[in-house]
Amino acid sequence: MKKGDGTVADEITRLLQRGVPDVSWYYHFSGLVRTWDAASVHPSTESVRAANVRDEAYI
Amino acid sequence: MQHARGAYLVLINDNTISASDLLARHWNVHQNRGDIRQCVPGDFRFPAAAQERALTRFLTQSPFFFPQPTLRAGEYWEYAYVVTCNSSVKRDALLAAGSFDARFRVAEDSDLGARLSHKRFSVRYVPEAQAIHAHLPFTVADLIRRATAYGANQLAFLRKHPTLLAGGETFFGMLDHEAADEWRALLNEKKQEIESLAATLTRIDAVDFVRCFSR
Repeated sequence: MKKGDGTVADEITRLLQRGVPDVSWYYHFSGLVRTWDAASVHPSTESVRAANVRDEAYI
Repeated sequence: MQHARGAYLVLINDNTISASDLLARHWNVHQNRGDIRQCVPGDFRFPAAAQERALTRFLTQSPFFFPQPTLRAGEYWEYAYVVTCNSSVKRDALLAAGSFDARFRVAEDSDLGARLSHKRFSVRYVPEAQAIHAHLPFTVADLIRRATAYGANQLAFLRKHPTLLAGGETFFGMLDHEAADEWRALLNEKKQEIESLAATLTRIDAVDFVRCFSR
């Protein structure tokens, strides 16, 4: 399938090269801020640990 | 780690499927080298079916999650290359470095890698030690869940390894209120754009990439 100078596959690959890091870093910082806020309310080491997710990364 | 009794450890995920000669490949690397201060990651790649979806197709070619897709055989000094999806290390050396920190449910290998790096461990990538990453499907929702989990872990990780803040040169700043305000501002500014982008990626990822998009 062609579109413009490259294939649609090329275009999608370029979108993912930008989009996957952008989406991933956005939610990374969302998780960081959530932990930061929890630690700010209860500023003990234990609270930082408790704010950590308990799920495995599973990848 | 406390229960392992072998001289060497092979560290794998619960979704790692080893090649039949994986243990022999790891063993050979350690036997051919005198310095025990090395961590030996092998290859780790998605199965062929990953090509059917745009996201996993991208991840097979990108080092965004794991360094192996673009790594060449050889010795490195980068702590982030300590990935325990398919790696071996001398047990005594690992225990001497403090083993794994059980507080970390994610990035436990990066934490270990940072400590091994301080002890001048190298990372010797051996692509012949092959394993399959049996983790399909992996969707955009999984990507978001993974990123959120790693982000939640980041504060404890960087507080444990403050030298990684590089004196405030990264976007993590000095992990202070000023940095937190910048993170919040960025999240507010980008919210709509990222949600839209995630929705677009989700739609693209819903179709068979090979059948719909490939030449």
